[in-house]
Amino acid sequence: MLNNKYFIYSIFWAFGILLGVFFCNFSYFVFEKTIRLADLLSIGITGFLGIYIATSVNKVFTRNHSEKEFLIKEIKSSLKVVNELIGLIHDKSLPFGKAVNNFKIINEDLLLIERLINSSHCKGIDVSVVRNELIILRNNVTKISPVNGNIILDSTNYNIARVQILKLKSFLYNLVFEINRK
Amino acid sequence: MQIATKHFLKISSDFSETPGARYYTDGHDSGQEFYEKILCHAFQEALDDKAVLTIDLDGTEGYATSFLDEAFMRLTKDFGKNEVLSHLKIISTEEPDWISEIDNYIKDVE
Repeated sequence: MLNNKYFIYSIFWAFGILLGVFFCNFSYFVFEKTIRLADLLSIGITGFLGIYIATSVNKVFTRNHSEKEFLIKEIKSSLKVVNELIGLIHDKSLPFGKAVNNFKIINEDLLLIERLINSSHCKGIDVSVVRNELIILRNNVTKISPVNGNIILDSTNYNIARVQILKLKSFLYNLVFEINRK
Repeated sequence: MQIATKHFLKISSDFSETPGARYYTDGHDSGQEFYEKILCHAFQEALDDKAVLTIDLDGTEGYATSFLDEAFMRLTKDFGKNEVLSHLKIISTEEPDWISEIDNYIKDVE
């Protein structure tokens, strides 16, 4: 890795020497020994602006990139809990306490993600559609009375819950895509 | 289980950190039990004092729709929609969407 870096530097260095030799020996170009003050200032200002713009753009890019990474990390942590819920729904039997707690964790995560999005450069991305889907699913599952501590899904409730949780998962992925597009 | 501070009720400390489902028959800490043992008396006290009862939902492991629906539906049936809407305030920073959900449970009572 380090050798590779020095190799690239050496190539640039050699290329610079070759360029210098070429221009000095090519009669078409005439190099003056003096420079006008205005030209010198112009070069200085252009150079300064070039470096300033490059640094600023790089700073904004780095900041936006780290914000995106942070938001996506939070969404991924919600997806873990959603996947856990998918497993429980597939079993058609959800331990009551576990299910209720998972819904709360996802709900709180989404609230946090919404707040973070609103204070980042991704402001404007709508999280409410994901939260609304979660609320519909939560209400459909937790309105069912538990039997021996478990929420048992009959085939109708199972089909509804399965469709809803997959919809919730796809909304979360869409959120990741939208953040990446910003 | 302890009696709530006057006109303020925090479900996690005054009732349970793990609220259950709808009825006694569904298991521990049901909405029915919460209504009969805590909410009903706290609301009556608030009414007697012409005050507003504030209920804090935060601090629990989460709520089932059945728990909140049962408790607030019973409250509305016993005390009337207008009394409940004017003497009850729900607060939550952890899951604020429950506030509008509970409002709907109250308004949906026939």
